[in-house]
Amino acid sequence: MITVNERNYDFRSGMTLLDILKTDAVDIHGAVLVTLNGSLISKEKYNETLLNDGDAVLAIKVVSGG
Amino acid sequence: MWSKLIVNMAEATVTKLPYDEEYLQLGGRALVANYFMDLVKTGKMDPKCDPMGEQNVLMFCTGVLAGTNFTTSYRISVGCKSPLTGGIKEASSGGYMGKLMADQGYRMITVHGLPQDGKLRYLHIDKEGNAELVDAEDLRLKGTYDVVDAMRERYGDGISVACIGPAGERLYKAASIQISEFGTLHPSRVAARGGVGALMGVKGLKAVVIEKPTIPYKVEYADEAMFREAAKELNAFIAGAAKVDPFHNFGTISTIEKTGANGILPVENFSGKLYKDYKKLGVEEFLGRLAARGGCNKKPCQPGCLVQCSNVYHDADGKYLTSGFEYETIALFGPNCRIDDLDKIAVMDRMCDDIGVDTIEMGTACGVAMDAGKLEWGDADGVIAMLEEMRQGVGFGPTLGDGCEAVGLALGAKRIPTVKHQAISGYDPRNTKGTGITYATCPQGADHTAALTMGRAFDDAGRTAQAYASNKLQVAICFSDSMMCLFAFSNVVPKMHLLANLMSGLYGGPVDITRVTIGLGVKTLLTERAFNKLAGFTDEDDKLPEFFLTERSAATGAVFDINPVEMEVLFDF
Repeated sequence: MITVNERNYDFRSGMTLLDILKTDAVDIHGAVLVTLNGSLISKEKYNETLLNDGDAVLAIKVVSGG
Repeated sequence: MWSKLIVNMAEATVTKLPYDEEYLQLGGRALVANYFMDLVKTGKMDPKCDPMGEQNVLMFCTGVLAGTNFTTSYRISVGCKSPLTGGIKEASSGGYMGKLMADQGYRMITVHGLPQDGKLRYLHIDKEGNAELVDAEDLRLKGTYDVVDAMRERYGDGISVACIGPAGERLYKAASIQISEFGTLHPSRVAARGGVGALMGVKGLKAVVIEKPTIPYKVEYADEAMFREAAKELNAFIAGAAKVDPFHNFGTISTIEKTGANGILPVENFSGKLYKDYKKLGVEEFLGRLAARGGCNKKPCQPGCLVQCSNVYHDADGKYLTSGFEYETIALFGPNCRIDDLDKIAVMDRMCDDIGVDTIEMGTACGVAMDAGKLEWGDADGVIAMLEEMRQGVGFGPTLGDGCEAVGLALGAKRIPTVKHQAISGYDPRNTKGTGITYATCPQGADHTAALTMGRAFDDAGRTAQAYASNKLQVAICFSDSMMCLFAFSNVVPKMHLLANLMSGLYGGPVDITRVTIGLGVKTLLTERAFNKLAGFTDEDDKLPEFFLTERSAATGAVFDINPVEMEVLFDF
C-alpha cells in the first residue's frame, strides 16, 4: 500500500513516484512540492524514484504568505 | 476577571486595572481599531497628532481567544498610530509573549506619555503578576539578542521578551519590536511593520519582560463544553490540513516556488522581470542546508501551534545564524536586489532582527538604493555594510532606517514601491492584481498579510474578480488577526462556522458567525478606514505607485490596470 496525501493506493513492484502521481487525483501541475517519507523530491527525479510498499507521498500545493 | 496594565512613561508608573467590559469580545486587530477610535471619540487623541508625540499610545494586546486551548490563539498585536504611515497600525506577531500575557491574566498593556528624564526603562512582570518599570540604561543601544541574553540571566528561561534594538532607540521609522520565540527565546518573531519600534523608542521603553506566572490565569467560559467541542474539532481539522500545508512542511520560503515561476516574485526593484535563478533560494536548497548544518524546520513559535512554520538556520560552520527566516525577507533582499546567496540573506535577516528593523522595508529600500545607483545590483556585502551603518547611526544608515520611501526620496528615485509610505511586500502587484488592490486600499498601508490573493482569484494577472477576492480576504484577515494566526486560519475555512461556537462558548450569546465576520471583520476594516480618514487620508492614498500602472511586467506583459471605479466599490458593504 502507498499513501498519497493520506489516501491509500495499491503498490506494484517497479512503481515510480511519477506513476503514482499520474494516477492520483492530486493536481501536480503548477507549484506543487512532493515529499516521499518526509524528504523533498525534485521534479526531475519523479520518474527515477522507485517506490517501496508502505511509502507515504505528500503532494503539497504552494500558497502565498510569509 | 481579566486585567490590563497602564504604563505611564512620563511618571514612570504602572497601574493594574480590571480589563474593560466593552473590549472583552474584542482582541488583536479588532481591539486596536476600536481602542484607537475610542481615544479619538473621547478627545484623548487627535487623529492628526504627531505619532511620535505624547498623545500616541503603544498597545500590546492578545487575541480574543487567548487563554484557551484553541491553536495559535496566542498571537500578540501591537497597536498605535503608525510613525511610518500616520494611520492606524496593528502589527501582529507570534512568539511567547501572548501566552505569558494571558497566563498572567492580562489582555492589554497600554503605554502612555513620554519620559521626562530621558531615561531608558523596561517593563518587568514577575511570577506573581507584579509589574514595575526598571532602569534599562545598561541596555542602551544593545541589540535584541543581547537584550534577551541579559533578561535570561536575570530572570531565567521561563520568560518572554518583547524589545527594541538600536533602530527603535534611534527612532527610525522602520523600527520593529522583536518578540522572543517559544522555547529558544530567539528574538526572531516580529511586530515588524509601521515603525512600532520607533514609538517604543521615543517612549523610552526598551523591553517588556514577562515571567511565567506561579499560578496561571484561568479563563472563565460561558459554556466550556461548547467551546471545547468546537476547539477539539477545529484543532483536529487544522492538524490534519497541516500535514499537506507547505508552511508546515517547508516554511514560508516555499512561496518562492510559485512566485519565482510566474513573475510575482519581485526582481530588481519590482522591474517585472523573471529571475531564472530563483531555485537557488528555493525549498530544496533551504532544506538541504538545514539538514547538513544542524538547523531545522517545523518549529512552533508559540505553544500549541499545529502549523509550526518556523525554522532555525545555521551558517556553514553549523553555528546558529537566524530563525524565523521567511519568504518576504528572502524575496526582497534576494531577487529584488539580485542577490541569490542564501547565507548572505540569512546574515541580513539576523542583522535586521538584532538591530530591530522590518526586513520588508529594508529589502525594498535596498532594491530602490540599487535602482538609483547607490549600490550595484547583487552587492550583498554592500547591503550588509549599509545595515551596519544603520546600527551605528552613521552615513546612509539613518536614511535606510526610515525605510523605503525615505531612501527613494533621498536618492531622487522615480520608482518607489510604497503605499501610505509603507513598502510593498514580496508580490509584484501587476501579476497578482488582487494583491495590488489590497496594497492600495488596506488601511495598514501596503501590507504583506492583509489579503494576498495569489492563487485565490481566477487568473492572478487578469482583472476578473480581483476586487472581489481582495475584499473578501481583507475582511477575513481582519477577523483572523483578531483571533488566531493567519496560517492556521487558512486551514480553518471549510469549518469556519465553528468560530461562532468558540465565541459563544467563551463569551455566551448566540451561535452566530456574524459576530466574527461582521463584528471582528467588516467593522474592524471600516473603523480602521474611518480612523485614517480622520487622520487626513484621502482616496489619493489608496493608489499604487504610478510605475506599476505604466511599466509592463517583462514576465507577463501585464500592467496594474484595475480602474478606480472597481476600487471605489471595494468597501461598500
